[in-house]
Amino acid sequence: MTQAVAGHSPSRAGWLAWDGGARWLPFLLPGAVFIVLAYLYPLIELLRFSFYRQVTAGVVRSDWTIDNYVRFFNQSSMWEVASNTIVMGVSVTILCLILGYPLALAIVRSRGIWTTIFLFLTISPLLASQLVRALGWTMALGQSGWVNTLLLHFGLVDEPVRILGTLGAVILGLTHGLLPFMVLSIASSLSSIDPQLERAATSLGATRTQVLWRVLVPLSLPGIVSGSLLVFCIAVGTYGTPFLLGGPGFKLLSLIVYEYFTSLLNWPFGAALAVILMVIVTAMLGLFVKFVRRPWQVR
Amino acid sequence: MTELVVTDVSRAFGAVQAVDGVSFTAKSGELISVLGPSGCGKSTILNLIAGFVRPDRGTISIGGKVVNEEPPSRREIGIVFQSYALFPHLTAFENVAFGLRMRGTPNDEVTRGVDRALEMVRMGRFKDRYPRQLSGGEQQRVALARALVISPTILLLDEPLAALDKQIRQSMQIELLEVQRAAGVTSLFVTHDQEEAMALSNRIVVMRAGKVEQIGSPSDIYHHPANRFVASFIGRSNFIEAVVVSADAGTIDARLANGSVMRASARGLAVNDKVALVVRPENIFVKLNGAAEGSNALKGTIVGALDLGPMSQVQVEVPGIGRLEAALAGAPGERNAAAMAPGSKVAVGWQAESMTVLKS
Amino acid sequence: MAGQMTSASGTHGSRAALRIAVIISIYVFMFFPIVIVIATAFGEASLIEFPPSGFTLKWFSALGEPRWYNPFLTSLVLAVGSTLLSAIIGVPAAWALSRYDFRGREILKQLFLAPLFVPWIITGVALLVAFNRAQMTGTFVAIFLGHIVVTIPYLVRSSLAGIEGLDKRLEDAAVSLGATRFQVFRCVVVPAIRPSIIAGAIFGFLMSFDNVAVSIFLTNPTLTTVPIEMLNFVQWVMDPTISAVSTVYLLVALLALLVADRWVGLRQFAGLR
Repeated sequence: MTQAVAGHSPSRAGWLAWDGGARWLPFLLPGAVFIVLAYLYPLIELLRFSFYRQVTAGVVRSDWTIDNYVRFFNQSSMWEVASNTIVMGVSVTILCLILGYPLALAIVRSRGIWTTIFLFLTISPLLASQLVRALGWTMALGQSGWVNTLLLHFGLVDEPVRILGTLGAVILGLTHGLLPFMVLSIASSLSSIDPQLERAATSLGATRTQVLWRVLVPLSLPGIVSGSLLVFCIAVGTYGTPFLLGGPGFKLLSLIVYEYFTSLLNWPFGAALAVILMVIVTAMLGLFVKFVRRPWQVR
Repeated sequence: MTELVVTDVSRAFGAVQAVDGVSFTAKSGELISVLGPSGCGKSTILNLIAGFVRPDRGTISIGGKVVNEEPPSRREIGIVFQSYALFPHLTAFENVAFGLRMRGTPNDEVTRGVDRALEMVRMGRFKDRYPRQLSGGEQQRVALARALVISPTILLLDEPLAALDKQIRQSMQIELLEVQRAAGVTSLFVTHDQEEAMALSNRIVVMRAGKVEQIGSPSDIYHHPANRFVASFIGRSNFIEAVVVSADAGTIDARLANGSVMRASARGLAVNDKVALVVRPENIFVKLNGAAEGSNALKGTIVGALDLGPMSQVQVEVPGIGRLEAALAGAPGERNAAAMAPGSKVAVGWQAESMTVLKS
Repeated sequence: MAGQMTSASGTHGSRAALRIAVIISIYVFMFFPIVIVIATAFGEASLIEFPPSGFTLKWFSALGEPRWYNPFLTSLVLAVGSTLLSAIIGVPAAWALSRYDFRGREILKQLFLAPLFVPWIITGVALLVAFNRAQMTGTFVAIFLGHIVVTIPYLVRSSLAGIEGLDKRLEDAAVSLGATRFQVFRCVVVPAIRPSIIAGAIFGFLMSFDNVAVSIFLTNPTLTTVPIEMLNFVQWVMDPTISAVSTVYLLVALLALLVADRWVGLRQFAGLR
């Protein structure tokens, strides 16, 4: 075996050198090939498909046309769906932030067995399939469900309220499902804050509220941002929960994309909708990153 | 002008008694240090005074008022943490301004106070830099300014110079002293570095395993250590076991293990008491060829000699007593390296006054 | 670090009580629907009702039927298999991405992590379109590849995090002692980041098991996963069978979490320091 030599020359010695690029290929290649073939290529195909022409249900012609996009912009019902999707995504994200931050704080401030307990409680709902949780909500929010039973019992309403099939139900269900993601993201960020900083702030006269807003929140911003991005992206991209809770009444982009690909069999239009969804997500990503510049960080 | 009085304070964490009946006072404007090895309880003392930890027993009073029940945010104490704990998301200016802003100080006063504080530590031109853009020494100065700008009653420093390089540390020691004197604030700092404690403090509180071993000025502690621990923790010491053979009005005669008898001044000892005679290496002189000098001279052989630069460290084996360590200062010529070679026969001795007698 | 944040003055008083109440109510909110589902699984009536009346285990017998037991098997095979494969191709890639700087490194890294952020429905239809082209729709290979796409970001992400915490000099030391690159990977890197790999694998496993938006396009009546079957079932019948299935599903996932705690520790699994 050739001795390792600092490789700068493209000779045989360089190839076998420790820093030589070729040596890394066996590690990198399988993964890279896979991700490009099985992920990047399909995405590009999808983009390409959005420019195809739908002839009849199930039949397409591979022209280049922007008809599908034009159709989207012309249909007001589509605009409504898109705006519903954005509103839903943002609401879920904000709710997850409000509910998730206290939980993350509790986890990071806990000691010993309590940390395990809190973590267990936070992570286990994640394990219940999103469907299980959504099912639970359908049982609770249905016409004869728990919530309505309670409302009727206390005389707050005269007849069962329709909760399922509304924006509210979907927001509720998704917040519930995505809360653990937000909590873990924020907790991870909080836990990397130097504990002395809190003491320093307290010694300088800061109350607990001031410590929270002036020290903890700014320094846990990375966790807040990545958690929010994750929650938003999953919220607008998931199918199961919105389907069960939004029902036929409430339409979201993810649901109609599914319809166009399965029952309506208009793949080009469906593809265009998927691309538009991607654009929305990218726009939100850009907004977020712009919104959070941190000049005091190296990265 | 505030006095810090710690009275009989104790605190345990689980089964560990971190601080056990500690009492000391820091007079107004004084700089005292709490010195001891790791685990001696010095950090706990700092946390107790700051208010992050409550004492199980005892009182802490600042300026005559007992503060046991006060939360840390209301004790008006300035703290310089070991890691400086500067807020990474704030500039140097904003870091220093933090305490003032917490108190709702109006903006123009804040600017004046911060500028003044930064000038005091000579960091004025760095005020818009972020902590990550500052070196260790610079961060430390900002941390100091932040602690002082709120005009604290007490200044606490937790191993303030531990993270700095040796060269910087020495210049920072002087700066720290100047700033503290100028501010006139009663200060307590915690350290395991005895050189630092000796250099900076008016008085030192030596601690071990939660208890106070000795309180005194650096000179007191160095020249008159109260027990073996203090004698060996501060500087280096030679311990020579002996037995008291006569004791009379502040003077004793003690017989060493090799039979020779030495006279020393000591009180409260009786015949047959076991004692340890403590002599510091720099007080021992080494003469070639056994030319005896001083009242306490012993004969021995050199077994090791190291030239350490400013001084030479010489180990001398004295039959019946053991190995004694001597530190010889003076110009290299005087130390006569060739003559100090291992195997040379020498006489070692010291002045009676430079010896401390400790009961064994 | 959890536990070191001070709460010196915060463990007593009415403010603390308020905070505890808030935390408890959030957790109640989180468990509420799950509790409902589990409870209804034991009810007598053939209609789902809460609170359930009577107590029976009869709904659980449905799990012995091929209708449920096949999807469970499929889901399990998919989850375990895709996680394994993701680990095999993803962890080495993560190491290469960390140590070897090349043009396009950032892009490739983001590509590996993209399935996390790109809405799953988009991933699903993209795969459908591509497999359709390759005339592979409805095959096991197709859905298997799809699940690898779903799980690989979790493994790459956690491996990257683990490698970041590694002292590179350990690898240098190994090389100086004569190790080949493969040996360094196998004997130095992998053992050191084992907790991260396991954490990523368990997350990946759970996400694959639970996946709807990708599976839904790649499954067919003869080859489905548990979530898809549950979705189909629920549209036609609403009897406690679905609750029973859900309960068993929960047990599988709980097992995964216990494994996580045993092997890795919950704190590390959650990414806390």
